[in-house]
Amino acid sequence: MKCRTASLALALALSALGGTGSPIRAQGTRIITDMDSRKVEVPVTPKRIACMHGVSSDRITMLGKGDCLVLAMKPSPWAAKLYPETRNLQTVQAPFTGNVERMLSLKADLVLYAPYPGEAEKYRAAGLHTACGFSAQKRPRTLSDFLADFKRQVRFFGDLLGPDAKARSENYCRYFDRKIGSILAITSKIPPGKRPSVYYGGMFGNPLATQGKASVMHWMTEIAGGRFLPQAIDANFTAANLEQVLSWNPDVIFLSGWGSTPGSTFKSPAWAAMRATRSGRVHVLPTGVFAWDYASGESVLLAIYMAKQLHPEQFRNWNMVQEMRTFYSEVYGKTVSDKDAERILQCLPPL
Amino acid sequence: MRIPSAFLLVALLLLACVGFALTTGQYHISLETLWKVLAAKFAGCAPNEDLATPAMVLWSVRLPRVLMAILAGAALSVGGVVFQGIMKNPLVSPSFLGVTHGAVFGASLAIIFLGKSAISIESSAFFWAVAAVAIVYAIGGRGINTLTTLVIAGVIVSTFFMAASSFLKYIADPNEQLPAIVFWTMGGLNNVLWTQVIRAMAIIVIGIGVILTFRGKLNLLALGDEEALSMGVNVKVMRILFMLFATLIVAAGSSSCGIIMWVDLIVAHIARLIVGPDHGKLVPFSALLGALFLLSTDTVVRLLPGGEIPISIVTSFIGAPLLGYLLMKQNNAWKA
Amino acid sequence: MRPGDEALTAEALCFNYREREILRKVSFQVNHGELCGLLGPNGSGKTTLLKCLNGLLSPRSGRVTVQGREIAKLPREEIARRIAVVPQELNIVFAFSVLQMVLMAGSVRFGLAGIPKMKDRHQATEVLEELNIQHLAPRRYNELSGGEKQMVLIARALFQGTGILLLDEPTSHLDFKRQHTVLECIRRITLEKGLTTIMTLHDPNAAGVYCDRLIMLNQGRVRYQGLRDEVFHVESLESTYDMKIHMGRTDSGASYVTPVYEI
Repeated sequence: MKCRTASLALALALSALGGTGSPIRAQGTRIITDMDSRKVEVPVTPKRIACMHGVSSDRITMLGKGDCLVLAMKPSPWAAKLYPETRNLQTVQAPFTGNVERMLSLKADLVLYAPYPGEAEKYRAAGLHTACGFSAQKRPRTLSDFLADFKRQVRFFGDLLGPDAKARSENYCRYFDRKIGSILAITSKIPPGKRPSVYYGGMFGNPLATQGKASVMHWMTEIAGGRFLPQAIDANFTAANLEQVLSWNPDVIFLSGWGSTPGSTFKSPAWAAMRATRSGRVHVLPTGVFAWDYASGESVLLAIYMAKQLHPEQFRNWNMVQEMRTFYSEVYGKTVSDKDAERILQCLPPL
Repeated sequence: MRIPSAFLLVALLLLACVGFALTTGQYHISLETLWKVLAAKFAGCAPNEDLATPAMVLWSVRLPRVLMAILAGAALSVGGVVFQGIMKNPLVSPSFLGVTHGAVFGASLAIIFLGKSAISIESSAFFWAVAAVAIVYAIGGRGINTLTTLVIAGVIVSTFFMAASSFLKYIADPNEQLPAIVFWTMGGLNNVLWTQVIRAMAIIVIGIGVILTFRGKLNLLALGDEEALSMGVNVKVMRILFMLFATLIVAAGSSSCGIIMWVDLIVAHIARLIVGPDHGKLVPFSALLGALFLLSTDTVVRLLPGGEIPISIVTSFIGAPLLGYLLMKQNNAWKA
Repeated sequence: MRPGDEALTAEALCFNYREREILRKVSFQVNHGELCGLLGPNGSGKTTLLKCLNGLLSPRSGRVTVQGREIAKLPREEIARRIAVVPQELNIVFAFSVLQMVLMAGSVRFGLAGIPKMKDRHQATEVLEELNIQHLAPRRYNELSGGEKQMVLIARALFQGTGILLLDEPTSHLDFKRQHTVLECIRRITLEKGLTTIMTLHDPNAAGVYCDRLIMLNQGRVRYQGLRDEVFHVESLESTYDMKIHMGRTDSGASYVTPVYEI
C-alpha cells in the first residue's frame, strides 16, 4: 500500500513536470484490443517494454524485438545465446508483479502484464501504457479454439510491435498452420484406442505438478495424438494425486524441462511401477529459447517432438534435428547447428 | 471422560483410521485384491503379475504416506505441548515461534549455497529452525508479560525469516534452485518416499522418546523457573534439552512434509482439554491425538476428487477458527 | 540430627543487585527443630535472603551451609532433598489439580521421568489429610481462595519431604482468622515432624507468638537476632522498623506491640 502511494505520488510529481522529457508522451499512441479484451492505448511502436508475463517476452524476442525489452523474466541460456540483445535486460521473477517506480526509472513505454487483480490499474495510475498479453481465465475450450487463440496471440504481438514484427508474426502463423496441419493430418486419423495415454508433470521439479483440462499441454497432447490424462482436473496449473496417476497408469510421461530431471524424479517405486517408466517412455521436454511446455513459440517443435514420441512409426520420416534447424532458421531467423539442436533436446545449455 | 478411556478411544480411532487410509485411495483396490496382497505378503512370496501394482500402491505409496502423517502429526503435537509447557504459555507453538520459517530459510540457504543434497538441506533447515527459536526466546523470553512478548517476538522473527527466504528466492537461479526451494516449501505428504520416512522416523522416535523419558519434569518447568529449581530440576539443562528435542522433531516433521500450520498449537490445546495439564499423560496423549488428526486430515485431502489440495489449507481451516473460538470463550479454555 | 544441631547457617552473606547492596554481611545460624521468623520492613532484603538460603541466588561473597554442606556446591536435586520452599504467591498458567500440584513436589524422588506411582499418590493424599485439606485434592489450584492456595503450597512443601522449610510471607494474602490458622499449622507441623522452618513475616506480633528464634533485618543488615524472648523488645523492633513502638501485655502475659499512634 505504502509503496503504491509513493509511486502514485511520484507519478503525480512526474506529470506535474509537464512531461516534456518523458518518453511516455514522446510519441504517438493508438488504441488496440488486448488479450483480456480491453481497449488499451499503446505507443505506435513500443521501444521500451516492461514484460511482467513470462511467455510474452518469448513472443517479443521471437518477433525480433528483444531489443525493446527493458524488464522481463531472465532469458534462458539459449535465448541469451541466440538473442544477445536480451542479455542485458533487467529481470523480474515470480509472482511477476512489477514495481512502478522501477518501470518509470527504466522509462518503460509499455507494460505487458498478467491479469492479476489491480495490476493494470497500478500501472495506469502511474501513467504507464499497459496491455494484457495472456489471460488464463479465458482458456480455449476446444482444439480449434486453441489453435486460433495461439495464432491470435502471436498476431497480437505482431500488431503491437510494428511492421517488421507484423511480417514475422504472419510468417510464424503460416509455418504454425503448415506444421500443425501436417501433424494433425496424421494424428487425427488415429482412433481413440490407438492413442497412448499421456501424463505431464514436473513443474518446479515436482512430478505431481501438472496442467489440467484445456491447458496448453492438454491441447498439445491432442495435436500429437495422445490422450491427456490430467484433463480429469479442470484447472490450468494444478497438482495431481500420486494414486490418481498410478490408477491412470500412463503409457507415456512427459516431464517439464523447467526443474525436472528424469533420474531424481523416478527414484520412487511408485513411479518406477508405471507402464511409461517400465517401457522407458518418460521424456523430459526440451528447453530452448523458452521451456517448450509453457506455450513457447517453440510449441510447433513441441508438437513434432511429442508426436514422434507418441507415434514413432507414423512420424519415422520426421527428423527432429532437421525440423529444429528449419524452424529456427525460417521462423526465428537463427542458425542452429546439429550439435546445438541435440543439446536443446537434452535440456543442456549452449557450450 | 475418564482419562484411560480417552487414551483407548483415540488409540482405537487411530487404528481404524490407519485401516481406512490403507484400504482407500484414488487407486482402487478391491477388498479381494487387498486380501490377496496381504496373504502373499505374509506368506512371504512375491505377488504375481496382477497383484504387483496394487501391492506397490499399498507398500510404496500408501504405507509411507500413512506412516509419515502419523510421525509428523505426533512430532508436531508433542513439539507444541513441550513448547507450551516450558514457555508456560498455551498460545505458543513451534510454528508460531519461528521453527517453520527458520527451517524454510535454512533449506533455501542450503539449496543455494550448499548444493541440493538431502542431508545438507535437512541439517541446514534444522540449524536455522533452532536458531529462530533461540532468537525468539532471547527477544521475548524476558519481561513480565511473556505471553504477549513471546507471540510478538515469534511474529517478528517469522516475518524476518520469511523476508530472508523471499530474498533468497529472488537471488536463486530460476531454472535450478528456485524450483527446488518452491518444491521443498510446498512439500506436503503427496510425494513421501520411504527414505524420508525412515530418516524422519529415526529423529522423531528418538526425540519423542527423550521427551517421554523426562516428561514429568515438564510439569515443574510449567510452574516457573524458581519453582522448578526449588524442586530439584536443573532448569537450564532441562529447558535446553526439551527445546532441542522438540525443535528437532518439529524440524524433522516439517522438513519431510513442508509447512503444516496449526497442528502443533491446536492438538496440544485439545489434548489438554481432554486429559488435563499433567504432562505425564499429556505428552503421550498428544502424540496419539496428533497422529490421528494429521492422518485423518491427510486422508480427506487424499480422497477429495480433482487435484490435491495442500494439507495446510485444511489444517488452517480447522485450526484458525478453533483457536478463535477458544479465545472467544475467554474463560481460559486451555486451563481445562 | 538432634534438636540443637545446626541446620542452616549463613556466613557474612553479601548480595548486590547491580550497584545496590541488598544484603550486607548477613550471618546467623538456625538450629534443627527451630521455627525462625525473619522480620524487617519492605526492601530490607528478606526475600533475597530466603533465595540465597535456597541457592536460587548466589551471594557476591559469604556462604550458606545446610547441615554442614555448602549450598553453592550442591546440585539442585540435593538442595531439593534438603530444603523446600513455599513461595509468597504462586499463579500458574495451566489448570493443575491440587493433587497434581502436591505430587509434582516429589518429582526429585520419582526417578528420571518424574512420574509418581500409586504409593506416592497415597502419600500425597495423607499429607493433604494431615493439613485437613483432603477435600481440595481434585479441585483446580487456580480456582482456590488465597488461604486454600497457601495450605496447598504448604502441603506441597511437606510432600517434598525435606528437613528444612522456607516460607516467604505465608500470611500476606490472608484474612485475620486465616493468618492464624496457617501460622498455627506451620507451628504444628514444625514440631510434629521435627522440621527446621524459616519464614519471613510482616506482623511482628505473629512472630512474637509463633517463632522460637527471630532475625531482624534492616537495610540488608542483621540488626538483632536470637531466641524470641531475648530479642522481642521495643528497642529491637523500633530500630528494625524505624518507628515508635508501644509494647503491651495480654491478659495471659504475652507481649504484643502496636505503633505509637499519633491520632
